[in-house]
This record gives sequence, structure tokens and C-alpha cells, in this order.
Amino acid sequence: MPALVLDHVSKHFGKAQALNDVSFAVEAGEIVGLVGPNGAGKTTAMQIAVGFLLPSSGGGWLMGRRFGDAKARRVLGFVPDAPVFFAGNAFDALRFAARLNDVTPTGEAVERVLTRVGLTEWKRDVRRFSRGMQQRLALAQALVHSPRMLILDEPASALDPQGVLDVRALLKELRAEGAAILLSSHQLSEVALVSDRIAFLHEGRLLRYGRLDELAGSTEQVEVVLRSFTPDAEFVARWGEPNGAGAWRIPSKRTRDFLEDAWTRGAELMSATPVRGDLTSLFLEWTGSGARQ
Amino acid sequence: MKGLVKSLRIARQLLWMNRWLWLLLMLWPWGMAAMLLAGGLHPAPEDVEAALEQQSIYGLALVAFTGGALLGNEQRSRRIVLVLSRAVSRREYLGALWLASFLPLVLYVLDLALTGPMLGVSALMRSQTLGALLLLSLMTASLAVLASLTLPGVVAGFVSLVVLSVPLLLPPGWQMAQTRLLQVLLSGPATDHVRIVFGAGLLETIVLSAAIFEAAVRLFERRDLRLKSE
Repeated sequence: MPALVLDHVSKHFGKAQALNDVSFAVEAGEIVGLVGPNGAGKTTAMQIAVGFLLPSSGGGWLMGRRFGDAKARRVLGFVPDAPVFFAGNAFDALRFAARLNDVTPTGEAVERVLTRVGLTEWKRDVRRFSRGMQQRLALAQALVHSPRMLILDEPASALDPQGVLDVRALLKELRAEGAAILLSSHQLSEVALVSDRIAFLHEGRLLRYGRLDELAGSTEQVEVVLRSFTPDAEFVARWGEPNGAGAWRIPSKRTRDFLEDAWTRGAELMSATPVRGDLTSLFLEWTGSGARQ
Repeated sequence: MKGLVKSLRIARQLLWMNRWLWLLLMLWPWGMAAMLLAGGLHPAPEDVEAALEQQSIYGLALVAFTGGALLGNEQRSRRIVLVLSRAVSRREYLGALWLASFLPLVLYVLDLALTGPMLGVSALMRSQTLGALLLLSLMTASLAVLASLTLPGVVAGFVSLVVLSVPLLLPPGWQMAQTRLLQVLLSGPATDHVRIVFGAGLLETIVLSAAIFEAAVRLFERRDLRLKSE
């Protein structure tokens, strides 16, 4: 069974629908990137999985147990979007977190985890840490009990570029060790670099779910380059201006219409290439923002 | 047992966050005693006993308002996320809130028990008033935790005190052991059937507190956490 399963989960707050029939799964040894614009339902989905929120309908399993079962969280590491801590130093914070997961770590084990996340300041009260240090500490808390499932909500949002690289390397290590990881981030290039699959949420619905290379092939656009052709006003009105490279991006379904229109005006076809988008351009296309730009 | 240990760990963190407030409250009875003794005032025994009753009511209010406010505070600060994302059940978490509102009262009662003789409070007065305070606080903590699930902190504290006083309004034939405990706290020691009052009071308090706490757990397990989004 996958480490995490969302099965037709819907959630509404009063009349507002935050999630609408969302289903996806995260397998062991896999990173699933959960992306979408603000308010798409990413945090809601994660909070349902951790047990903070109850689904309005549908349900799911975390490590084979129903959402909300505290025993399942023994092997869960969770990093919230805005970590907060009780008073104490980093050692105290990690020991407290581990003990709530029925683990009593040795001093060496705590030190090892802190080093692994790049946290070298251990003595100060953690509430006085910078946001970046708090985020590293939250990661350390998520790892201190050697979890098999990680749910990370914007784990690198406050980190400097070196910190982002460190987190990327860490996630790859954890995946290699067999952990299942659900990762939400607005840093789409980072998500694309580490994720095996992408779950794209928009207005509470799961619009796309699959491997990035499969999704990238589904942009359904073709880039067409013409030769010996100066478009007239009617052509531009219908198909738009060419981009800087003298090419038009058109929906693949309309390729034939475009080419016939161009041929009747004496154009020669140089090339017609399916467009494979990066995650950012896919994001803009799926949310409809691309059309407005 | 493991659950209780977890609840105690969480309660310790919650108490540590408010340690200066608790310290001040723990010092309050000593401060009062010092003022009365050092000032050369020789208050009449009935005045001292009235002061003890008043301080006992402050103790109840302390439990009610602490118990009523803790859940809201932890949700507002989002520290609840740190705890409930671990292997901690909602029952264990509410247990921690209950302990964090009740345990300071135990120290407060100990303070009053120690300062009472210095002020000449009779042993009968001390044992009965403080015994009633301890038992009624068990109930108050459960009521406050339950009320805090649906009401804002101060209102929850106030409502739990009102509900606690309901047995005083019961007609004579319907009075409970809680009624007698409240009467001991408000009007002085019982002179008849003391063992029955406190024996029945203990039993009734344990049963009612457990039932109210169980209701709170069931309700909390069916509710979303109210987390401020960032």
C-alpha cells in the first residue's frame, strides 16, 4: 500500500470549497510535488493528511492507517509552512519532538540530525532564531525520529540559495533511503528538480497528476517556424505576432488551419515542433495565467 | 500510562511558557502572609478565614480561566501543530491542557496550606476549604477544557464557573455532593457528616470530571483545528 493515499477527498469551510474530490498517492521512495496557486488547497490537503482537518467527504490512509490516527504519525515527519517552537534550545526542541514520537534520542543522534540540516547554533533559545534557522530546525524535528513519510509544506521558503541546495540534496538522500515525501513549494524549479511526480491543484481540484515529463508533453502546443513570409494584418489578428525567434506558438489542434492559412499567403514551413513546457510555463498555462501574459 | 507521560511532557512545556505568571501566583499567598505579619496587623481569625475563602475562589478562577484560554492560545500561536503532528492523540493533548490548568492549583493549595498556620487559620478550616477547592478544581478544569472547544478563552472560563455553581441552585431534595463542597468553600467548614460530604464529593467529582473530559475528547476528535493561515 502507498505511504499516503488521498481517496476522493473533499473539504469545505462553510460555503467555500477548499478541496473537491482530490485523489492521489505517494509511494515509498518517491517524491510527489504538490503545486498550485495560492488558495488552491495544497495546505488543506496536507493538513487533512496529518489529521489537523477532517475531510468533509472521502478519506485516506497514512502509513496504512486512517487519517487522524496518532499511531500512523509515529513514522511521519511534518514541516509546517510557518514553524513555531516552545521555549528552549535546539537540543531541547529535538528531544521534545522525538519523545512525542516515542523515541528517546541520544545526544549524538540529536547532534547528527542538527548537523545534517546544517544547523550549527544549538545553545540559543530557538524562538530567537532567524526564520531560515527555524526552518532548518523544523526539518531537524521532522527527521529526528527517522520517519518513513515526510510531509513538507514550503520547507525552503525562508532559506538562502545554499540552504535551498542543501534541502534539495537532503530530499534526494531521504528518497534514496526509501522515504515517501509529499512536498509543497512555490519554488517550481526546485519542485521540478526533485519530484518524481507532480500533483497540480487549482481551485481545490486536482487538474494534473503524473510524471513531469508526461505532463510537459501535454501542453498541446506546437511551435511553428515559417520562411519567406511577412504576415498581413488579418493573419496577425487571427494568429498573433511571431515571437522573437520568428515562430508562432499555436494549439496543436489548430496546426492544420494555421499551416493552410500560411500556405495560401505563400509561406514556407521551416519546422513544427511540439512544445514541452517547464513547470513554470505549465503552471501558467494550467492556471490560465499564461493567456493573460 | 504512555499517554499520561506524553500529556505531562506537553503540560510541562505549556507551564514553562507561562512560568513567570505561575511564579507570581505561587508567591501571592506568601506575599499576603508577609504583609499581614510584617505590618504588625493582628487580623481577627474570622477575617483571616474570610481571606482564605476569597483566595480559594481566586484559585478556582485561575483554573477556569487558564483551562479556558489554553486551547485558543495554542491554536493562535500554532504551537499545537508542533504537538499534534507527532504521535499524540487528541485525547492526550486535551489531557495536557487539563493538567496544565490543574497542576498550578495544586501548588497554590500547598502554598495556602503552608501560609494558613502562620496566619492562625484553624486546621479544620484549612483542611476542609482546601480539600473542597482541590475537588472543585478537578471539575472546573474539565468544564473549562470542554468550554474552550466552542467558546473564546475568557468566556469559556466564565461559563465553566457558572456551570460549576449550578448545584447551588438545586432544590434541597436534589442537592449533590458538589453542592456541599461549594457550600464548604463559600460558607465555611461542614460540621456534620464530613466524611460523607468529602467521600461522596470525591466519588462524584471523579465521575463527573471524567464524563465531562470524555465529552470534550469526543467533541475535539470531531473538530478541525482552528489554525490561522500564514
